[in-house]
Amino acid sequence: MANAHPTPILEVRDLCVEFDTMAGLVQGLRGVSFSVMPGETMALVGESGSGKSVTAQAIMGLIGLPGRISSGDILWKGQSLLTREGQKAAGKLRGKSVSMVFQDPMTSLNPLMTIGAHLIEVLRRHMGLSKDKAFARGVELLDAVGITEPKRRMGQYPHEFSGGMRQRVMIALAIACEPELLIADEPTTALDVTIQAQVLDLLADLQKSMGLSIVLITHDLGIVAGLCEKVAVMYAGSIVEAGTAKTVFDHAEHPYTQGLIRSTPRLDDRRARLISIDGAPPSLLHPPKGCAFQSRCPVSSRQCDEKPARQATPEGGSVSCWTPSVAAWSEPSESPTGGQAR
Amino acid sequence: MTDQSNRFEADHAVAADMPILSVRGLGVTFDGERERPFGPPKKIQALDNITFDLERGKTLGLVGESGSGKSTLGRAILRRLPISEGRVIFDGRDISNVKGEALRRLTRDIQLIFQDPYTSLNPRMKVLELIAEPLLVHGLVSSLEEARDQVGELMRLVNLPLDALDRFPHGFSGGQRQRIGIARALALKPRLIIADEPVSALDVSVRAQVVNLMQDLQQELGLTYVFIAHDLSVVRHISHDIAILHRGHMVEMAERDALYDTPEHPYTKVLLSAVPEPDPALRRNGDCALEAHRPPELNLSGPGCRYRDCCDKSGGHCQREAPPFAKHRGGHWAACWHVSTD
Repeated sequence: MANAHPTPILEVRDLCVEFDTMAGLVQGLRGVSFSVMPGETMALVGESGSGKSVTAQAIMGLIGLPGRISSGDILWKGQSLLTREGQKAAGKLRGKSVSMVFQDPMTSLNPLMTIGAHLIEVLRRHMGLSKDKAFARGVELLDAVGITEPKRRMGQYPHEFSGGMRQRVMIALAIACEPELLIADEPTTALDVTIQAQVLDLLADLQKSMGLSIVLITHDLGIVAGLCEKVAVMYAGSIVEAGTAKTVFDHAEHPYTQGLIRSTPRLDDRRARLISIDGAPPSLLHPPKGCAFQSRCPVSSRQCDEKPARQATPEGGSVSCWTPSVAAWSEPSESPTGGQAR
Repeated sequence: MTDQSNRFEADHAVAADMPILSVRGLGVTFDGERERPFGPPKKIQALDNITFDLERGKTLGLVGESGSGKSTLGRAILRRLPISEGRVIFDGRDISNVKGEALRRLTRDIQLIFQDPYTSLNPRMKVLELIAEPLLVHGLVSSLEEARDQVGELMRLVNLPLDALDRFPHGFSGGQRQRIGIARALALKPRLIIADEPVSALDVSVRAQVVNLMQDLQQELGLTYVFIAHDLSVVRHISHDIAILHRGHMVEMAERDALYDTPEHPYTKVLLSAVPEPDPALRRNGDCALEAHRPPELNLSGPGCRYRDCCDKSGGHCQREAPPFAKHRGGHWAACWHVSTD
């Protein structure tokens, strides 16, 4: 799919976002670059405060005061969205060609509007459909995301839907205008595991049938492995490692990525203890001059006082570390005794 | 302080061989909506016929989705809810009906760790006040200053810096806040701790820190935990036994490794397959295999197995009669007619 189109559908170049707060200037994003090809699924992974949601908001043009994009560029099919003409075009693009699924389905729907009204509003505004056509299309969309009795459901209010159903409605809203790019900001964090699995299956299904590009924002590496081709790992406002899911999971270069993978519990893991990354991420009010992970890194050295440049890895990814591919974490005393994958 | 720790040890010696917590046929009913004004409220059976034993110094992992009754069970053991059927026996004493001063004293022995460290700590109280509050409430110290040493000791137990005593909780990260919550729960030297999703709100890398801390404390202080979780990923590392709840019923209980290696109940298998694994080889292919397990309206009335409508093995027997929660091979407890014929 991706090969037919040489230009990426979305490209983010060296993006910096600042928040002017009472305490001082908080550097939310500190030079984020990545690109998404058509039909590709990319994951942005990181802890809370690492800047993954800010990245999504910047792409959607949702950075409000006191925040602002201080430098860098966001390109849609090669066209900047941040120039004056670009901003005009972006208004039409957002919500139509680029749409977003928010984290919390409980608060993202208007409780005073029926599900149908939500869908019809979007379809009339962006697709210019008549009321009747919009209703019919809304029923189709609810059906597409696996909601039973879609006609009856159109007249119901959000409180009559369960969490998983609401997230399905959010996805139906997001795909209503047949977007080319879907940004999903922790779409399953508020859901039960079985419902989460269904929503992820739905996303994978839509991606296949519609040729959608997806940027999935999550803190759960399990979800990344299940859904995404490419991964970018964020830490303290920058991308520390990027590559295909396979290379990042199999040959993690950055100590933080290695730590993150090791601290994610696995079902076939019989270790009595989990491995943790000690300490906490640095404050972005006064980010460290050198490598942001230095204070928590087990293999840091004098060199890390300086900020490492982004370099390509042999597997085709990129990493920002002075000593990449070093096994940073010693093996625990009890090694996992070969549990079988299910 | 000294006579309290004596009490602590003396009780340990008296009944070391009997389970610290026995729950027998526990049922909890809530009043639902009224069918007509002033009519009798509909009864909602939140928990039905729950039976288990928990040994001293062990951890029971309690897993279920939202609405399964896992938090209700925790609160019923804490006696924060009226019990409508069955008995809760703590340390050889039937506590199902204690009230007044006896109930107040009971809270010294059974404490709770909350899910969300961001909302469970009063933002206007300093760490010292927060941790000393239970001591003051139970009259074990008469002033904050008197509590300072004890609080310092608790801070050491949970690896918090001593200079944190006079700070407010907003300055702490999620993991540190949860440590404050744990120190608060430990202040009264409880013997049983109900931890209601203590790490669900935390980042993956920090989750491991808190789980490991809880394990260390268990070793050091001989604590017994009931660890409530909504999925099967973290509980493996901390639990000795794991019980699965589904719609207010316990469907399976087994020793940890037995449950993961040879799950018996179909619902347990669904829960296991729903956990996203951090391994790109197990990628979702978009087939909604889990769809069948969640029909929109569950038929809970009448005889028969509660899980019959979600189960692909459901047969005539399942429709007619509910399976008992019985012991099967390998120490598995399960409520399913198909367990032995598997």
